[in-house]
Amino acid sequence: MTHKITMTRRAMLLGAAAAPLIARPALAQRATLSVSTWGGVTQDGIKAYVAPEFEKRTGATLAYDIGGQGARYNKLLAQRNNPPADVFFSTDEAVIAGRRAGILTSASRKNLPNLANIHAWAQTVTENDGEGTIAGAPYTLLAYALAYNPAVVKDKPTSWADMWRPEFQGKFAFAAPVHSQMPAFVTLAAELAGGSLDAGFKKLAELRPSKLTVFWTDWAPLNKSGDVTLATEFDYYVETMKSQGYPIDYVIPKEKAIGCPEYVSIVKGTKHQAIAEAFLDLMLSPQVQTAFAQETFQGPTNKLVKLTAASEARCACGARVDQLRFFDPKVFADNRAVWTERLNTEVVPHWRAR
Amino acid sequence: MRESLPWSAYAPLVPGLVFLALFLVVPLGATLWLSLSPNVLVRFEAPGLDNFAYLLGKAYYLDVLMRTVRIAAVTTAIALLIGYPAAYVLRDVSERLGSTMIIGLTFPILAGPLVVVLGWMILLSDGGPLIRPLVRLGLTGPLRLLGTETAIVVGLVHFTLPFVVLTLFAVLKEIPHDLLEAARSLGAGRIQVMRRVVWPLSLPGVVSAALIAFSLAASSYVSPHYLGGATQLTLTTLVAQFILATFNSELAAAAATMLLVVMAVVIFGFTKATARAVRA
Repeated sequence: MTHKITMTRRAMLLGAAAAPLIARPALAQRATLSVSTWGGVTQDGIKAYVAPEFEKRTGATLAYDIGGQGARYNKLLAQRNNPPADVFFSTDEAVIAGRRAGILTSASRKNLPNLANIHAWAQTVTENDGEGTIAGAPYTLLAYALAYNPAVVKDKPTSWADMWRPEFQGKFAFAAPVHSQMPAFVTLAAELAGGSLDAGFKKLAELRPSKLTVFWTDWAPLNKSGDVTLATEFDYYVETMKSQGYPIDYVIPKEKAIGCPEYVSIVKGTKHQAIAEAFLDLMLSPQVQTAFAQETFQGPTNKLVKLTAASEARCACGARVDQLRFFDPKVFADNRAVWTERLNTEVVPHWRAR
Repeated sequence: MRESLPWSAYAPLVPGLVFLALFLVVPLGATLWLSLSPNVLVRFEAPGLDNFAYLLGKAYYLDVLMRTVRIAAVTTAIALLIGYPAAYVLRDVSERLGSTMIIGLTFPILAGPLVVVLGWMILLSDGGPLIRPLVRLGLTGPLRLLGTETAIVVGLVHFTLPFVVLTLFAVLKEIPHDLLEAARSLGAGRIQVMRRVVWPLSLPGVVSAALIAFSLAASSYVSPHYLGGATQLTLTTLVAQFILATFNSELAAAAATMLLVVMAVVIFGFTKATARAVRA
């Protein structure tokens, strides 16, 4: 005997109305990967070039915890028992510090197939690499260089030593002591002053920056008003400023610019290790890195990325990599606390910066 | 003779006391304990006072401490100087106008310190609407206000002024008009009435307003951060720097404890010093 199932129009309508109610619990069960990252260019890039493919591959969605690296790092420290994020965007130095502090964990190499095509120069964090694991995924390369206002500066800078040129004193936006690249300047100043760290701190104290910055928007209005004619800044932020019509350009100093591989790593205690690794692998993929390079001027680390000449000219990639100096992030992590303290107490009081 | 209350009469105090114990005493205790612990910059056997010795032993941190006290004291003095006459006028205006003026006065509180300070950042910037016309007219050379103690004080006076005026207004309003008329009928002039009658009777309000303004100014973060910047650190921005930039929560706790001690000493000292005048 067969049961004939018939459905009236009213039953169909009721069924259609009830469908979202039935579907909602299934939607609520979809995993959400929380991404701790910088707002602006980086978050926009993830939303546009990573999120759609990530959702297609894993069925999970992305949520964002936005802020400066220090504030986000501190959140992970404070909430280590119930971390507020699953993956963490940071400098290579912060990966080392985070591992030492016990707030970041490894990713499995076998789950990151794109890692095979990542340039060796990008893999600056090696101390936490275990058997078959990696401490983080170096997804981009940035250059920290000298930006200047070409409308005002006739004799454009060519060397880090030009930061001490009299015409720039009081017109100079410099990395704050807490800036990620400040340890590089301690080293550079020591080298320019003859070698010793003490001499380097004294040399830095002779600078007269008018503005201390951690983010390009700190000094961008001063560039427009003519109050800042020289600044230290990441290449991709200067490119962003150029696109927005600021009177700005940058040079790679003859001593080389500072090469900065940026990492995304996995937060210890995450409940989503597998999809976090899928996210890391996506950040290393040629497709994502091509989009990031073309649209946000962040240099690719994947050897398979092929850029147009126009895009290549606007990011840290190709032949420009040879013009970058890669500092050891372990040295930064080892010395940051003491160097920041020395900068604050011995150098900053000599500056009339704000 | 005062009647002693039964224990049950204190029951309504329990929720408040539990709340305070949980959310004030416990975090304060944790902060104090942290301030006695070693860290990456100061190594010692816990518990110890070495973090405090370290901060007080460096000219840079002593400057930060002195700057905090100086900014709070100057803010308090200016807010009282501006606030007292305003509160006195407010006392005598009609109820309708008084209410309108009080709504206007409380606007900075309603808007919040961040909105107030962002407005000042625009006004005080080098090429801003305040400085540019002065420079163009040749009344001053290139002037810099942002990033100075002056800018911090300006922001703080703006923020603390409503608290000062409202506190003084409440006290001044309580002074009976009959008293002033009696003084006048006995031949006292306006200045004498003010000096011999109004001022002594309003002193408790002045002390309260001063304590409120000092506490708000010394513990303020927004004005020193946005109007002062990296080279004009106060104890609050120093605490933030230790927490957010160098991840040294032990020194942050020590700096926070120092701020608490400074406030307690100033409040206790000021109350004690003015107690006799207030009683008289």
